[in-house]
Amino acid sequence: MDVLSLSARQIAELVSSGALCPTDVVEAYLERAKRLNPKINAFITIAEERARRSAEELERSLKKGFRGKLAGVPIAVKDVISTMGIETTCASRILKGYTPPYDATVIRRLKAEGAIIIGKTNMDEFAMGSSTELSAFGPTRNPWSLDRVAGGSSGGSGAAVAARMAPVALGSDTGGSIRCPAAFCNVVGLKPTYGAVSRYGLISYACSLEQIGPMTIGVEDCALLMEVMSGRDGFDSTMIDYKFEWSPSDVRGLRVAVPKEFFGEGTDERVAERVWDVIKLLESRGATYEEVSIPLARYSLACYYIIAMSEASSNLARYDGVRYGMSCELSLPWHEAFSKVRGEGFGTEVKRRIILGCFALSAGYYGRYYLKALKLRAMIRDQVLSVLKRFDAIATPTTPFPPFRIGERVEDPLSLYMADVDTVMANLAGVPAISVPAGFVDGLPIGAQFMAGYCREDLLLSIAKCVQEETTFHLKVPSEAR
Amino acid sequence: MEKSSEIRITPELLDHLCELAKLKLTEDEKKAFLRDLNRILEYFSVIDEIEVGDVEPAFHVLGLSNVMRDDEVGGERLAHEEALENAPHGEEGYIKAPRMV
Repeated sequence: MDVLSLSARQIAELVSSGALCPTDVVEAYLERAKRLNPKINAFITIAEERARRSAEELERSLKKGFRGKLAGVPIAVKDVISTMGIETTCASRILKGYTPPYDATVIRRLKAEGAIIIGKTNMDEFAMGSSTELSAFGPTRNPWSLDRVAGGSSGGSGAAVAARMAPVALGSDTGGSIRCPAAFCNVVGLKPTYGAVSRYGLISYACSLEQIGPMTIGVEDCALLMEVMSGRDGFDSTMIDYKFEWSPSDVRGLRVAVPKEFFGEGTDERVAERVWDVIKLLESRGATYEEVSIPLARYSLACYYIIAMSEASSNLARYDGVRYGMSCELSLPWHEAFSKVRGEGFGTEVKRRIILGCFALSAGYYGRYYLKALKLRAMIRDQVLSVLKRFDAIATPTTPFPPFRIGERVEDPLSLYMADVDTVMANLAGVPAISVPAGFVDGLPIGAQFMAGYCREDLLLSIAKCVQEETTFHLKVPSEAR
Repeated sequence: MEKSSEIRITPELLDHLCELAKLKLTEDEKKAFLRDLNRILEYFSVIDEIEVGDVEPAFHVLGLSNVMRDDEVGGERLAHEEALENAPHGEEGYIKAPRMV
């Protein structure tokens, strides 16, 4: 049996029935992860010993009758999510050596169903980036073309799944950080409705925007992870009443809105064509579509960055070299000690965002930037919701262009921000959004994005399932990963 | 009111922001930041085109309300040592920080 070609659902079934041994699963993935990581750099930490121990413990539990929805499923976890006993760095020097004394809620729930953490994946520092080049541990390379980026900020998770170094992974999405690497790596990535999944243990960047979500090869595994992870948690007071349920339905009668702002200037024509192919495919299965306009889309990116940077400047105030991570110099006056450790510990982009966030929140500029962005956010949300009153889903490209070369955009922050132009709207509105493989441009994967109303992940999964039934993109394995 | 497009981050303002944010930058970083930050602000000025008036600002999009509970410690708790184990400098069960006064 080729363990590496099984879905998470299949692994769990075979392990639960005794047909497959958890240790064999873990060893197969460890071997592959260790072999491929030197060239792809998807993992910051491969939790080899712990994964082996967890597999052995699971074997003992199975003998005592334990059954779990994720029994024996190795999972790659973005290094922004707290894992008890496994170093969690956020790809930052300032957190080097930090080992959380507790598990994030999502990790606790996954473990309770028998999942095994295989490692912590690379990312842009503190999830601030769109290419996974801005990591203190070097860039992740796209398994489809090693000189290209894997997307970001959950690029390590995307690359790990694409290269079959893990069957499933967790990412986090503040402005597209799950969907962009999903698109660039040819996997499915879901950003849930805001408040559907607990953020307890997710190291904060921009609290009002971000959610943890699954990255998988097949839609069914995406649903499986949502089933296990989502729902109320007493440790996150920003959650909504949410019950994940999905029974796959066909797309007959589904009304799809295609907003013209996402297909025009700045969008690679070949990307637009592939996304149109996907829309036409849905039409052939009984869906209808109509071109619409979301005029405020033009302001989403600026609105998003002002809010995200403002929240970041506040969230990242906690890093002072006193309680965890890099150490500040105790002999210096406190303000110099803090400024020094923060100056040395944070990377350039993180510092840029803290400073601009500080600016947008400071006296004299608050009304013009932060408050204005919040008002604009309300207007953008209302415009998205009004489209979703007339339509079931909104279809767009996930990114305006295919994966770019490593180094191509990194010197110019604005050109990197442009990678998020199609994804930030879902975070501003809080609605769920999915990226599904939509084909290739010059051998490089791209994604189609669908947004739906609050708590309609089921609809997004049904759309993605329909796409996966009609195409074979998601079954292709990158040559670098063979 | 001056337009956002006319707002510039000057070297003095940058120093002030670094003081507020507790970030020590090198001279090279300052030079690069002045260029990059102003380019980003220029991009942000696109929001000048929109009149927002007295729209209710969306601090949160879903209209969440407070979640209340009894003031009781519940669930699992970290042991004292566990809570301190990541602190670079500790002494007798306390975390050591630079002198404040």
